[in-house]
Amino acid sequence: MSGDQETRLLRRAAEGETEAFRVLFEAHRDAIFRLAYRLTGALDVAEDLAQECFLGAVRHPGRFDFRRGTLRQYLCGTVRNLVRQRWQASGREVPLDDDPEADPEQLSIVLPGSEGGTVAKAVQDAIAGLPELQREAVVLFEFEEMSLETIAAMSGCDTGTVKSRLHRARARLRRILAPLWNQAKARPKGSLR
Amino acid sequence: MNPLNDDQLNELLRQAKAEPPEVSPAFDARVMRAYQQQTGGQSVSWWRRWWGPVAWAGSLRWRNVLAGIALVLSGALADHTLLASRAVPAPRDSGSEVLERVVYKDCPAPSQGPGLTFNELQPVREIRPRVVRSMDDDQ
Repeated sequence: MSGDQETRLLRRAAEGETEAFRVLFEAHRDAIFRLAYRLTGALDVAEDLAQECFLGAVRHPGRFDFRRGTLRQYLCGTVRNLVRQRWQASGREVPLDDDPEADPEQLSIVLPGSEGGTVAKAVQDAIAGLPELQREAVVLFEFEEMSLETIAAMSGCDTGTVKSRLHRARARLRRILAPLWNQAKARPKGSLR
Repeated sequence: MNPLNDDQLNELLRQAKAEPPEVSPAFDARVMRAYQQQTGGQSVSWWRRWWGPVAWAGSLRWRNVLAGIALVLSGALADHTLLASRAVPAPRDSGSEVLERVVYKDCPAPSQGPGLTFNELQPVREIRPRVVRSMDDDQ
């Protein structure tokens, strides 16, 4: 779907055309929900944020300009902002970037084999333990497959900064997820599941 | 514990990606309901019904062009109608010659009898200048 088409659909949805909204929602629902989940680590919160993201886009259709990026990128940026607002509203102190005091090996992840433990869950727990900006970089790059330039534009920084965050995030994940890999090696078939 | 290498980390991330989280079954209905509440439950706006026949025109730019043309045409039509109603009827040609008068500033205005009509106020059709050398010439 071209940017022009998406703009028209968004405007029609804003005017109350249910079918136009449904088309947009179904096209981007999964990606937006996934992103919200990866950033927050909670399914119910992710659903709330995804809903707010779509309703917000329909409430202010003029804010989307397809010349500056795709609707998917715009919605991802909205989710990112909503996640930040939620953190700020809850008053939680979250290290935005690298925290030298934090010891990533202290983070506990639920390993596969225990109750509710899957590789996906263990990886998600590890990602949730990253500082916010590193988490954002790794989720957008590794899971949403966005380019460094797009992430930089969305985050309001340069690509060098994104690269640096990504590098630090991966270094942390390598340490946090080492037990998961070792457990898999210890299994007879080498399966991670 | 030794950290993973890049390949090992990539493998774990790949597996996590292959198992994406799923929305709850009620999520779609919930969002659609919230959307309906937000937009007031209207299905199609009134102006979209009017503009439906020109939806083929596609982009917003084309619609603006069409709206501009319609505006110009309606303006021209309105202007034409107004001009027609304002048109001054041509003076009736009675066949008689319209008399011209020379009015001198210092002379008292000629008394206008009750028979004065607007016909005498019509613009002159032909100017015939005449040199007046003395008051006697004007008699």
